[in-house]
Amino acid sequence: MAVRLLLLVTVLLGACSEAQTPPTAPRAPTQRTVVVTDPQLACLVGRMLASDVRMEIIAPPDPESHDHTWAPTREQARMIRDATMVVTGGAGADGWLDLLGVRSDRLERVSDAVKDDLIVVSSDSHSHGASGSHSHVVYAPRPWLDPRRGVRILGWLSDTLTHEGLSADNDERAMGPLRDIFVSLRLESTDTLVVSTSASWHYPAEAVGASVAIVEQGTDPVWVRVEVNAAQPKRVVLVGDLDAQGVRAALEGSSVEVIAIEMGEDECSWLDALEAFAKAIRASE
Amino acid sequence: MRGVLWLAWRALCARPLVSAILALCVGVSVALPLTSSSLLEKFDAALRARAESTPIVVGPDVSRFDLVFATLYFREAEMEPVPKSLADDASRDGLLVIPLRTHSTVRSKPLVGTDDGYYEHRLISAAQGELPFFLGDASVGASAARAMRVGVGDTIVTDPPDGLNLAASSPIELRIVGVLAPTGTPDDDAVFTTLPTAWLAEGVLHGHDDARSFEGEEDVIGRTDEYTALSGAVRTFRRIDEDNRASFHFHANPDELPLTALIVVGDTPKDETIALARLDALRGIRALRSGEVVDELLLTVLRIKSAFDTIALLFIVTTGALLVLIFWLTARLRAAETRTIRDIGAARWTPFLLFASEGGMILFAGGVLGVGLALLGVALAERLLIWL
Repeated sequence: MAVRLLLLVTVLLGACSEAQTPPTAPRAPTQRTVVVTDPQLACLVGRMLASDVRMEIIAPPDPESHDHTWAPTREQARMIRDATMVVTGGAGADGWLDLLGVRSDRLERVSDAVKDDLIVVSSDSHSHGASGSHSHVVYAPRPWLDPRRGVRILGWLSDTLTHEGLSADNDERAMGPLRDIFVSLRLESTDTLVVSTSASWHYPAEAVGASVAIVEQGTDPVWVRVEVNAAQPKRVVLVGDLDAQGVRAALEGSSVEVIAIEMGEDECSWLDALEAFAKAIRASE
Repeated sequence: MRGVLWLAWRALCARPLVSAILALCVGVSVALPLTSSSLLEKFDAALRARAESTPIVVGPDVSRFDLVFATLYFREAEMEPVPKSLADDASRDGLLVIPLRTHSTVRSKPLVGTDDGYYEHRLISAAQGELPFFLGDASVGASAARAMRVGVGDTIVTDPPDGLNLAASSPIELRIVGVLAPTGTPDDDAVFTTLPTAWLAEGVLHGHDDARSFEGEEDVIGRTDEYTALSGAVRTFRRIDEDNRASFHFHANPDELPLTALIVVGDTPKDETIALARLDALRGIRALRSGEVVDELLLTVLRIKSAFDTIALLFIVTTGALLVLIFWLTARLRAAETRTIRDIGAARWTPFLLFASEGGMILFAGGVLGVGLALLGVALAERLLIWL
């Protein structure tokens, strides 16, 4: 009883005042907008959105980066705040978004569709600061690059957009070609080495059973040769901004086939790259 | 009759101190029950309104009063946090789930970390500036802004978490981006911010220079090609600006970030009942209807009110009896005056009318004074209770 009385007094302190002016709700944006934080993802989302829904891409220069080097401007942040939905790749590559006050019910991470099936690139546990011991797990970003995961993500995206009334009626027509590309990647090629500047290529490589070497942009072709010597593949697929000529020269005399796949600037160029990858794997069958 | 009233008035004026004391006694007897009754009605209405707008509260498995009043009134309570993943789990079935983190304070005002769902649900808007969204942003409630004498563009610093804990996180500087419109609720006396900023204030999130830039032994305790392990001696940023904003990062699993509680709102009572049952069944989690807890508390209020009413009744009866006694004794003391009135040819009832008029005037003055005191008491109650 004494505790209740004490509680009562403390509660009454905050309870005894009257409203002074009737408050008004924050103004809702007039047009529905979906903000996408990865250009690649925008290629998928854009095909599924209803015609009256606007899509904005707000992404750091390198959406795959885990570095803490980019934050949106206030203008971009307002766009994110006013968005009906924010679609992000997840898998830890969008730490900048975690620093904003985005409503959790408006934030959709596509990695949640495959959250128990992400590829761990590295993990580390250490201690510093007041928070004590903690772990860093780095996942490969962009899991939609794997056809198996990609199809799951497409289904999840479709359901999410439909649930919020943002999806186009011709959803299947938009998704059909994407599914075809993903299905065409269901091949196996264990004697392939994928060398890429992007950690996201862990996914298509894993899909076909190929080994992977992630290198930095402008890596000396000699290092690629070192990777090739270690993996002993029959073919090397170079993805991204790598010196294909130099790699061919470095591997001259060996029987290793070198295939170069360009990654364009366009949002959907990754689909072309995936198709080229599938074609290369098919050709090797 | 007019002459009797004039005589009564003059008689009271002839003894101003006695008249004033008698009027005050009557006034206090009237004011006390009026004030307590009016205040309790206000408390009752305010508590119920707050509870009705907060249908379901979800948090750790602690005392239901602690949980509800920490959520509704941001009161400090010894409560373990619940993980952020609970918010994701609760938000199934189209429920509105509002996360709250109320661990830190700013100049003794609660620092409430939440998202835009809270403002939309409670119909809170910014009277000046905007609602917080960026890391380091804060919007101050109307009363808090007045009390702290701050406005948009000013900065405020969070209170040190624990004066004796040297390992605790340092206070951080928050930039005020908005002052909220008054709502007449505890929200007016709080400082609102985003969840990441609330976590920053308690040290779950921090920012520092690029780890690779540290060289000294006291800063670096280990280094590999990929990672640099920094020691606790590294100075973290206390102020968030455009240059360092991107460097802030979490040191916890995002799913395990701490929340004080969740407010869950369903479209229909059925949705809320289903959510309540589902969430309350989770291990270590308590979900309850805040209205039921407030009702339970208000039962105690009613008991207290009954006690107040009884005391007030006894007080009125005692005061009445004393007044009767005083007037009777006064009449005895003024027996000579009564005789004189009769001797000069006044009617037999004139002395009685005179004393009755004096009594009526005292009661009237006391009544007016009582109502005035009651109004003043209600108006001052908030400040008085806060001071208490």
